[in-house]
Amino acid sequence: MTYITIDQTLCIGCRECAKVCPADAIQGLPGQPQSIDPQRCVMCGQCVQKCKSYIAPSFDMSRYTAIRRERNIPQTVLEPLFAAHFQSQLPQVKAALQDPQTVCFVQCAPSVRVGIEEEFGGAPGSLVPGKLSAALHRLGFDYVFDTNFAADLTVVEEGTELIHRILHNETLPMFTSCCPAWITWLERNHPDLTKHLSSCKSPQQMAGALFKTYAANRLGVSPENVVSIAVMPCTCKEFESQRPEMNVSGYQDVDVVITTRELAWLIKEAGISFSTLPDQPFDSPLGEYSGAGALFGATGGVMEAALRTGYELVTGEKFPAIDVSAARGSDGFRTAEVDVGDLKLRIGIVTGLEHAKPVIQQLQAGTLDLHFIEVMACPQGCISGGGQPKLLVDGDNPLVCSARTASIYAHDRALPLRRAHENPALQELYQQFLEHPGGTVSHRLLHTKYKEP
Amino acid sequence: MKTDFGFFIAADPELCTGCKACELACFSAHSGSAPGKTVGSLSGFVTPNLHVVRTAGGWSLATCRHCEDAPCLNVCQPKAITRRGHEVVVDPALCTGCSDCIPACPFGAISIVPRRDFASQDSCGMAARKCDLCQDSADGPACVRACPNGALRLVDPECERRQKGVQAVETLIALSKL
Repeated sequence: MTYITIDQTLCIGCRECAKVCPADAIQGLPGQPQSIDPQRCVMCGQCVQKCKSYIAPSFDMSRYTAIRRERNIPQTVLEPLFAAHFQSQLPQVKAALQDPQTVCFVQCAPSVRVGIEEEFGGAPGSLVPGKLSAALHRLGFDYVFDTNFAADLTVVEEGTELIHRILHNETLPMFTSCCPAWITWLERNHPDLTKHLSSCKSPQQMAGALFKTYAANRLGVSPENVVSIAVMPCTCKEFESQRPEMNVSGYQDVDVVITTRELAWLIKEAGISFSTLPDQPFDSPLGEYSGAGALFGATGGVMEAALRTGYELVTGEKFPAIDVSAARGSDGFRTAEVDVGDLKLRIGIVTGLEHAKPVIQQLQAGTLDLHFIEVMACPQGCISGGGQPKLLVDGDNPLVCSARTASIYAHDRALPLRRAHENPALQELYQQFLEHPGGTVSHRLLHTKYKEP
Repeated sequence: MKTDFGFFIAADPELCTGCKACELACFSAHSGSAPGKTVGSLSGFVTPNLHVVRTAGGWSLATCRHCEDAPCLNVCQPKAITRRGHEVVVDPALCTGCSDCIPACPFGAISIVPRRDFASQDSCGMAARKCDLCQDSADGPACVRACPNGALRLVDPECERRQKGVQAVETLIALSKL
């Protein structure tokens, strides 16, 4: 199945989308409407970002409104609609917000806060965590938590796993597992290599597993009344949330996922003036985050966050330079060697799924001499995800992506704590609930297994 | 003698895939700074000054040719359409939206669209709109820059004629040596 569709009545068959599809999923003859092969599509949404074949409001609104209705987009939206699109999940979110019986927990990903204001005419990459939290509170979400908190948790769990794998000569290299499009692609195309994936769930699913257990318990809320909602820059996260094994809390861990664009629609429909909102903090106990968690939106961010914590776990000392230049950059595949005590840790960073293919070939040929590899399917990491604000002109891409990335790094620099393991809310979570990283409770809630052949 | 020939945008039907990137780039370039760079920052009509049209022979552009003896200019009663250098331009302040230029134009290049006030997102009356060759942009026409296939170019008819003449002569010389 796939959550991405091409509207046959709007597609003119230019096949520009096929050029950016990393999974060869777009089928059709030039000049004819295209379709998506659901067996191949990894739902990265890059075709949604690329498509320019649009219908806009006009004097005769009938066709426009029919298409808008089909996609579950609110009536207040008057932006152009494109042939390649994702199906909106907003009706489920609105139903949950209106139901007096439910308690709505929401989380939002690092990249949402550097993208969403662009939908309100803001400068590219405007950093707005406070407004984002304020808007979610005004929309009626009962608790506004943060995927960044879970990103900190991922750093600690994944760093612990990596060290364990190195010390015990277990499967290396270890690939990151935050990106569901990457995981879907690997599972489909190289199931024999899924043992290289970290067993850690993505931050979204770690947060989901804690919402209806630890958080509900702390807040005295009955977990069956909790609706767990995520706001993501990603068109594949809804798919990830619906994977059948993602129910360790005894319920669906994440009930529904919307994209950055859908949240902007919801805010506009509610008549909230986003740009003038006063800042509001995220809620406890899953709303505090370090700069490391904030980095997850940028390519190399997971690696940088993991190095800051992993170094300290191994050596007992702080990483010499907190800005880890080895992890930064924008090349599709880059590698570095980092001294971690006596260990020369060899790292790799892949951004853009097409750049994973030669890396996989090297792995199969036995020539890939790395310990740890971050892989993100989108061209510049999550800030360029399929659910992020869509650009009118592709030529603006470099400018907008670098502005969003710069805001991610600026946010990290400005936060009082910049190492994931120093997050006091995280330390409390371990003391009160998880016991220790990689422990039994962690493994039950925060780790997963992938299909093997 | 007048030396400012009208320039115009043309698409190579062999290269154009009909993707409409040029339309959105055109609209974006002529929208001022008030709307942002994202689709979500738009609300309402999308009114580019060129349109990609499907023809029997492939894709083509419906856009202004900046004619030498421009029919639109000739019929415009309020003198809102004038020639400026290589371009035929519409002054929206003078345009009454009477639509006389629309049947006059043989290329379907002029639209009557809401005058845009992006700050208030309100429309304030209607006016004619057409290609102005992005005369205010130092980077040249937005559509040409946006085309992912290099199918669009700004045609300078006199330069084109000269180049083609040189090519033809060179071809004839080469043939005569066979």
